[in-house]
Amino acid sequence: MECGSPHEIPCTQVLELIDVFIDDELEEAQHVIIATHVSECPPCAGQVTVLQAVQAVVRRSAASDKAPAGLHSRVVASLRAVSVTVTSTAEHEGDASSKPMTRGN
Amino acid sequence: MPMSTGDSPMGGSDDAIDSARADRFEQAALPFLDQLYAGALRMTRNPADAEDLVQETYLKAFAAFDSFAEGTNMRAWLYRILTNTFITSYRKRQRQPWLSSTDDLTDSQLHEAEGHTSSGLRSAEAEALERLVDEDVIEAMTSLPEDFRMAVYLADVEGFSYKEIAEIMDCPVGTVMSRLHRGRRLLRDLLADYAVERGFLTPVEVA
Repeated sequence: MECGSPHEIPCTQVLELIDVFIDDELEEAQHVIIATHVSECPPCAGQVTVLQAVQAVVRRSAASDKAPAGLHSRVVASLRAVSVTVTSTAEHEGDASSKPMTRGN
Repeated sequence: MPMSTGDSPMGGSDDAIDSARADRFEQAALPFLDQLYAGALRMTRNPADAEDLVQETYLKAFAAFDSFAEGTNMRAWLYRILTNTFITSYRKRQRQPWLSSTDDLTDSQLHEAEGHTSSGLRSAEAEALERLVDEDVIEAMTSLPEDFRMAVYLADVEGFSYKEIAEIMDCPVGTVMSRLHRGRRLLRDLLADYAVERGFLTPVEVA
């Protein structure tokens, strides 16, 4: 949908690229074109504002996330246990830690 | 004649090397514990599973530490292992229907509510969204399809670049862009619903 004013590129195209624009992932020349459009098109500017509000509340909602108190020591303990196993295995069978990371799809 | 016990060095130096390796790993990787836990919590939606997932991630990362290239992004590397571990070991256990991949959802199914209304209403919407409490935002995030939720989380909370997200999620950058685009619009619709419910926004202000 168009806002009625003449623009270098149509609003529909801007709306397609708004996420890439607010994430600052556009190439310089393209970024300037979108920024110019947004500065002269209140409806598109409104879309930018709302999407940035979505980003802001999502970021804010995760700001206070902390691992539970015991997790750090639990992880350290499990790493040390594995480290000991690897050491004793390595003495007999070669370096077990060189095993490639298993990856799934 | 006594048999030789062999020339291979036992104990001492190997232990020291392994212990130094463990120390290096702990120093490099453990500072990301809170962030990984928060990410794991978003993926599993369950604190007990999130703790297990984080522990498993660290163990896998430690086993693969030799393949980590010094000077590259430790946080992204850990996130990639976290994501892979989640996909291989946890996702199958969780049976919520919305966990399936959603890349093939059509735009009409997603209801792209991008009506081009006046910017005054838009900023009313933005202000209403900002008034939502964290619990509502977390709940809205939780109900997003998994691929969208993770893309939005990695971009907007963790601040990863598209390239990094593509590596973490093992997909092309174009897929990252479409997941973000669709995920944020779905999320925006969900948040607007909460805002209406809470009386921060009147339905007419939602396009």
